[in-house]
Amino acid sequence: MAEKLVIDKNAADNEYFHRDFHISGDRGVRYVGENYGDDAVVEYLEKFTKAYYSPLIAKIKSDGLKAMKEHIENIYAVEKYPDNVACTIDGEKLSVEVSECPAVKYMKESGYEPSKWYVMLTSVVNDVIAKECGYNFEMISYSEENGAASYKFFK
Amino acid sequence: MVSCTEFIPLYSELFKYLEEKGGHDEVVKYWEYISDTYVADLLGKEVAGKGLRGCFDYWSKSLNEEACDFRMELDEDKGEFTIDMRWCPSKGMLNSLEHMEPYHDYCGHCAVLYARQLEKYGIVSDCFDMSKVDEAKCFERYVLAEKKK
Repeated sequence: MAEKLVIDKNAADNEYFHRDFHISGDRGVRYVGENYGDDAVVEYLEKFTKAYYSPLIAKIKSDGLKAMKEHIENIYAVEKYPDNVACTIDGEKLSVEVSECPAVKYMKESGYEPSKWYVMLTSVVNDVIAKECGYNFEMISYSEENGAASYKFFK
Repeated sequence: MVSCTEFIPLYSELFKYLEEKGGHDEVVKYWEYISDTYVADLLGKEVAGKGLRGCFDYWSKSLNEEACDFRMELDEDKGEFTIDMRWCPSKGMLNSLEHMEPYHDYCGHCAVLYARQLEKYGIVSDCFDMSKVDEAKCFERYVLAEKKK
């Protein structure tokens, strides 16, 4: 007779941290890009950003770029790579330097090559947030090799 | 980067976007695409050599990483594998977002993604109770096709 196997877990037994979701996120933009084109990826991410990040957008409108800085730093803290990002505020300018993207690192280590649309999860999302708050956004550099990036928000 | 903890709203909005483009059929087409190009490699590999035990091993990893509140049972004598999801963090997160509406058939992806691959290995969905997804709960039972006959 085979053994009966049981796992019984409470939500509190584990941390909510499933890095495979980075691959799933990229597969989403890849599908939209391959089937509907680049503009559709922009359209999709614009709708996502306006819907999901509306509380963040409201906070930036009231508190300024400090709220965006906290948001970006929190992303890297959640991903367990807080030292991979450096954010500097100088008046109405927020400069961000990413030494290596944890998502790109994970995807590549898993044998999955991120699509050419993956960068848009940074560039389009940030551009939409900036515009909604009356700021400009510029993606200064991005490395497809490891996701290292440099970008800024400014008036 | 969108953090992996913020993926679920991104996924939900993708389903909405695809439905705008081509209706619910387009969303199902996407689920089938993901099943064939992604789940096939992960779940398929587990099940190919181990049968129902492969289901147990596959979901042991993903449900723990997703911090689900669940009970999973494998009874190889009965040829049965069940997941009693008492609280799904993904659906729970969507339900808790007051500022955005989840995709109306968000949980539908689970029914398509896995059953489609398992059928290739003689494992079929015997029950997928989604009547309580509004409470982030569901129940799934997979059985060996030969036992279901």
